[in-house]
Amino acid sequence: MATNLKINHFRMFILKLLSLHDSYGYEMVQLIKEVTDGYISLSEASLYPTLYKLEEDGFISSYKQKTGIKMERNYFHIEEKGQQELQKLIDEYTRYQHCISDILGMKERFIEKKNA
Amino acid sequence: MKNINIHNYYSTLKNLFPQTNYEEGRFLRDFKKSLYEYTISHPYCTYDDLVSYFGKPQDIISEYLTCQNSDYILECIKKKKHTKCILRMFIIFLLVSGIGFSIFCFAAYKEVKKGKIVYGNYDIAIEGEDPYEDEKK
Repeated sequence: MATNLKINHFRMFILKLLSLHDSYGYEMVQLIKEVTDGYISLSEASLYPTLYKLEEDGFISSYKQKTGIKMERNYFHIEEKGQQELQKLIDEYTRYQHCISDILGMKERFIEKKNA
Repeated sequence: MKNINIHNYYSTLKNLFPQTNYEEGRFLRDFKKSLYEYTISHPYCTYDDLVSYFGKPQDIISEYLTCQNSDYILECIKKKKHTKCILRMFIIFLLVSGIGFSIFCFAAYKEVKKGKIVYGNYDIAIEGEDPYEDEKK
């Protein structure tokens, strides 16, 4: 479950970044690091497999762009299906967050009531 | 890759992969691109710099495998078993054919040893016109 959650979070982060603009792997890692002040680090090892899976599912597409004499970057672009998936993931995450808040805010009275 | 540390880091990572199919190849190519991107801002980076930024190659493999579904890991195990099986069969085939060839050679050697070479004089007659007839005259 923890792995699934992590992967879903990564999917959400990636789709969110791509909903802002087309991006490539290294830039995505840097952006996540900058935005979260290094608290969340998305490594290449988990980023690329997640990107491939998203592409396989038709949520994103990729294209190559030359950025120098020898350099070529693989840019990723979010598709319409991906926008819908992003919304779904955000909804799921919000629900999950509420559940966590409910668990953490659980009072003893609730347990007693249940037991009675 | 001009920086030797990047080359070493990439080679270590590449050698650690349990198999190299299309997806792994793509991952390695993309990872190499990230390494290139890193060298733009850190042209004289050391191996330790790479480890502190990207993580140990072993950790990268472990994280990569975590992101894969269980089918992938099972497939890797299956492939490894198949490779072992094929290798064993190949070794057995080599041994059997080696033994067979040795037996054949030994038998041939014995046959040659038993046999006798007969020397004799033979006349060879060539039919048709003699091309050196004029020269002889």
